[in-house]
Amino acid sequence: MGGSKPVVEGPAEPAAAAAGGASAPSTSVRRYQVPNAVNLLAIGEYAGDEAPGGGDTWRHRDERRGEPAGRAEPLCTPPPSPSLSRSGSTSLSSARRLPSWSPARERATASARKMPKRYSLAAQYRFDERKELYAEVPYITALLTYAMYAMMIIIGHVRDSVRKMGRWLRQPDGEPSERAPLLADFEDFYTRRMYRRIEDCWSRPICSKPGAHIDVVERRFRTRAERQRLLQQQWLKGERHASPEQLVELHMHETGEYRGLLPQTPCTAAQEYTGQVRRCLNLSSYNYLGYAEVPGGIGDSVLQALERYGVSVCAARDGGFTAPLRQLEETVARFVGKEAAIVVGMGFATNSMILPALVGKGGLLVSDELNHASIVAGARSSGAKIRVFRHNDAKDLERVLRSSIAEGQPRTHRPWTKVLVVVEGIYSMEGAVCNLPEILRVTHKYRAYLFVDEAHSIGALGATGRGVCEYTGVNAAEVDVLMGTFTKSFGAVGGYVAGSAELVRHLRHASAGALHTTTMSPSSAMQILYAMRQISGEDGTDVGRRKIAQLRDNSLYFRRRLIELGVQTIGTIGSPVVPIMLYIPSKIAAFSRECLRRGLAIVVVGFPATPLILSRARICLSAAHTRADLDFALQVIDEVADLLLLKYSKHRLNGKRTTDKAKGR
Amino acid sequence: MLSPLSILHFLSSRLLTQPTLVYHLLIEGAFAVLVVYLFLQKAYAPEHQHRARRKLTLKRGAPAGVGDDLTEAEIDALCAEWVPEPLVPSPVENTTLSPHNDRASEATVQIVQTAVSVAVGAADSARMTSREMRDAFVVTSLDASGHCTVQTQDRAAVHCVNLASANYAGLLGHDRIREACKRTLKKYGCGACGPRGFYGTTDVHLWCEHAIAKFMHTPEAILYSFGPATSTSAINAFAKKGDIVFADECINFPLQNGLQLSRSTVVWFRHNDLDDLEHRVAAIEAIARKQRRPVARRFIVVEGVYALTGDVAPLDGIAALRRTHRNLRFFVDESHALGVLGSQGRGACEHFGLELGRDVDIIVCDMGHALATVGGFCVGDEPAVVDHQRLSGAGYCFSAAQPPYLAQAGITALEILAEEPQRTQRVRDNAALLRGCLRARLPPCVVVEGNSDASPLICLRVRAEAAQALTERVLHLVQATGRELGHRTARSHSREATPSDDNDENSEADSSEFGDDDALNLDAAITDAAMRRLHDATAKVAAATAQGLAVPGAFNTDALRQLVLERLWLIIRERLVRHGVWASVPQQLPSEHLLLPPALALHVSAAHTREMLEDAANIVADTAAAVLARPPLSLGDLCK
Repeated sequence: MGGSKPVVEGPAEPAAAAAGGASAPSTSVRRYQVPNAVNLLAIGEYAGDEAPGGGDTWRHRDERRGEPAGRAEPLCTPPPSPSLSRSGSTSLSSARRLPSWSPARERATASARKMPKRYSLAAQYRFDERKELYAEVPYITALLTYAMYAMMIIIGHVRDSVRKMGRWLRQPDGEPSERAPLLADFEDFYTRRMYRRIEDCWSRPICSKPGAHIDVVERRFRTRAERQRLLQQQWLKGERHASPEQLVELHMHETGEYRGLLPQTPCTAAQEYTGQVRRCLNLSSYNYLGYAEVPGGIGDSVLQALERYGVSVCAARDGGFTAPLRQLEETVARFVGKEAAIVVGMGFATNSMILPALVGKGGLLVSDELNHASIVAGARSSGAKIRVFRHNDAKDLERVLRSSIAEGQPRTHRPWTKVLVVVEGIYSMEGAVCNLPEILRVTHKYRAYLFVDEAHSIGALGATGRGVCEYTGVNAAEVDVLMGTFTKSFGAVGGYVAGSAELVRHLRHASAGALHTTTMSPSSAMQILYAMRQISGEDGTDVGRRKIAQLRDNSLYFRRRLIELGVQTIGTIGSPVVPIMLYIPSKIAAFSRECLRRGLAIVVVGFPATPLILSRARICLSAAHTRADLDFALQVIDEVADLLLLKYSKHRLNGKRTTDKAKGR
Repeated sequence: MLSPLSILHFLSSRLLTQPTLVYHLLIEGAFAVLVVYLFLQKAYAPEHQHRARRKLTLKRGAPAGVGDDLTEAEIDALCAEWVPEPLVPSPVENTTLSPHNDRASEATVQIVQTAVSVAVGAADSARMTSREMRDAFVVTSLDASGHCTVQTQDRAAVHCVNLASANYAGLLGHDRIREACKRTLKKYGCGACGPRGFYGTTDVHLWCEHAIAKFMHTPEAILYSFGPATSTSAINAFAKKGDIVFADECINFPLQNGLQLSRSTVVWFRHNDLDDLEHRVAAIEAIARKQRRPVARRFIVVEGVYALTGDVAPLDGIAALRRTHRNLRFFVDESHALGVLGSQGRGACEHFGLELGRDVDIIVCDMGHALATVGGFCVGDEPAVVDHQRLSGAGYCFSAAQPPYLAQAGITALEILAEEPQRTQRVRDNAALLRGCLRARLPPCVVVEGNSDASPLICLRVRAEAAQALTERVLHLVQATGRELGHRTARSHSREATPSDDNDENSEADSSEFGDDDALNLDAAITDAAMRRLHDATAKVAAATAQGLAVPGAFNTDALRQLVLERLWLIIRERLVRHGVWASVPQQLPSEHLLLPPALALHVSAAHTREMLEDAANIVADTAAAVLARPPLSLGDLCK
């Protein structure tokens, strides 16, 4: 299977790749360009009417573009829009109003293209971009998952006790140590007995930009005995802290191209590098708009900032507030539609160090149950009481707010000083877009303040990349605090908090994020400015607009195709984060390894980042992915999903449409 | 086929042949009845019991919780009644200065700030609040020679000696680092676009961890993307609820935050006081011995060089304590000591001859100081120290990886530091030089802090008596202003309203104090911009009404002193910039464990030359003297 893996070139050489695809039809990787406006409508509203002769339109269009119809059979073509077929006009300006999808026509086109049957059936789905899909764990799967975890826990404990016994046998009269261990057995039990089994699925080093394709360094894992032996050797040599200068040369897997050197890991570490590098399609980096690799290289302004300011200012805001930072704060405020903004050098710290300045003792912080760890850290540092509402559920938020406000503070029943509701724009592990209008309605009703963490949504959502407010049609001015990061869509580092001028003035002088942190590296600030100007069109080009459109197109296309494959995805359909449910713990590792073997870098996550049984693979789409990239990824996922029995939704396609029904609420 | 009849037949035949089977059947029957009985029982529902108990407490007249006892209409009413505080709290100084008079406090703060400007003869800054004075400066360039350009509010760019950057080893803007960063930026782009666990680890990060481990003489290191997050996460990964942490009361905020998040029991000991620490350790051990519980982990948390005071911690004494008390782990934050102390620049531990593993357990360090990049690292002797943080260090696990170019800057900085250990000697010499110059030249009312000449961070603080004198001087002015304001409003009232107006009398009667009514008038006065004009005229006003100088009791004197001193240093800093010295006046959060009086912080760098430092010391001394050594305002002064 690994042999049939197509060579995936970068987007720079589409012609060569197309040629490669044509010569090896089994890979079904074809590179073709689809007009954007049509792509955007690939998942439109359910039209319900059948367009005449729809099946042939696409082929005609292909022929018009000078490609022979027979060979130009794409794996999946976006359906033609009826008006195109009716009027025969190729004007794209009217495309927005067009219904684009009809089951009957889809059936016809599918049969014409000899697509598998489930493909046409999937067309009966109502594709509403805003719809959120929920996990529906098949009963047997849930049972198996729990059983597997139980088994691992039992085996782990047995192994622990054997180890303890061995230690006791060696030193039967050893006094119990006066010194408490740095980690008690139960504290790293999960790490030792579960995570270690599949740790190769994470922290895979790369030796390239985190762009659409990455070069993953292969590792092999040492056994415990091997590590012991190495340690002993080192002790014999008398080196206590030695980290021998043993270097590994990295070479590309297929071509043998030299890719640099790596220091071999110390003998205490579980892993070592084999020296092989594998080029993979990157579905894992938060590179939504593709700014991880700037076409034409990193901007001059970034290098100039490096020249002018050095790498870092080595000072907090009071002594290290630089001109690029000021410019960035002004630009961010303008971009998100707020009066002012404060920029912090790290996204995690933005939340954890600024939330305590917004709400404190006597206040209440109402948090979505799936909020990010940084919000949890900030909430816990703040000293405010924390209540949690069900994920993205405005009704539950209302219930929590009502009861909390009525009850007042615990025990004393004094009224709360203030209530801050914290939600995220896109929940990074769920792919769910925040139900902002409803949540905003509730917070307004109860006079709570709203903090929206746009870490993943800024740049990635909305027609002009303004984030979840624009996407859900909410006026940004109505949200009290908008927070976001530059790590994702802007391909840099850091975070911001935007709000009223008064709020930001307060944060600049009375938050740990401003007082106790080194300011952002000026070069990073320039990179963000470069990306932000492009996205907002301030630079006079439409590069940013096209990137945003491409990302949306990619997300919708990829999500639709995944649903058609029958794998279970969750989250909002239009979001660029697409989780695939795996459930069973052994499938976490299997999925990751099988995908990597086929040239696909995908992030898998399990407990504790997710609830115990809801293990998943998480795909982050990017504007840098071409349609051919996505088709290749889909083909690999299809293969792996068949291999690992991941198509949990497949058998349901004929029966009830359960996948797009909300979790019984 | 098994039919009921055949079963019955079978049973009866067996019963006849084996009479003991009756007992079996009886017992089994009893069990069956028990099962049925249990099934019919009410399910165990804690909620019911809870509700029943609550009803009971209600009957007894005890204060009961609300919640489910309220009707929907009542909840609606409560929700409608509730009025939240504004999202933006009023500035801390406002609320602490006169806690019972918060309407007046904003005006009071402004008057106090203005009064300081007037009192030290800096009328040009009188119009600005302290916050505006902080925001006034923007750094527009930095260079390797220890200079920087600072843009003042009137857009003038001033070339300054940079004493605000903690660029101890002089690596800021180093050519080699810059070239290496450029190469990395070109190859890897700017951001890492993902956490370390999710394909955010580039080979540059691995090289950086390798370089750190090599530099710190340990097998492995963990690299964080941001300095403050390092110490917070590292301490939080190991100290847990029930553990005991002995912490110096001056540790920096990120460490305090980590301790707070860890929910461990924090035992504060007096700053740099070994006896106090020993005493507390012994006390805790005595308690623990009595309790007979399994031993909890105990940590000592200190900084090599304290960010708040510039003091060097007596690590040798603490290490000796650790040797005698086996169950102590030693956690050192080397953020301000790395690249300065120790012959190789490994920090305070090396300076005291301590070794990782033998004497010290965990070291964290912010790479944003001597290494001139952004990031942080943690090293420890036990492999678990690094290993465990890769999953449990919140700032490592849940944050995007450091941009590769910043990691590259770290690698190159460590290389340079290893190749040129004389840099550390130079910064220590420079620190001693600047300290010496300042001590010699500064007026006696200013203390040059720091228990070691080698410490690169020099904090200047005003002596308590001098601070008290200044505060009193300011108070006189404030009261005079208050009275004048009262007169003005009275006059304007009498001009506008009828002569028999009640307000008129009130304001005149209360004008000597900041009473509630007066507060209203003050607010009104500010809104119609009378205050603004008053700022300019404060000195004149004060002179005109300098009689009966009573201290109003409504002030929190500590808060007032903080306010006055902060303003003082800001004024001094502004003047320093004009003379070409760029320094910082660090702020503290009100939630910090120890609030120290504001200070001027000077960071010495290896890049500074002798002349630069001598000049800077002269300028600082002259400015401070000019501002502080004014003769105290006498009544005659005020009445001029």
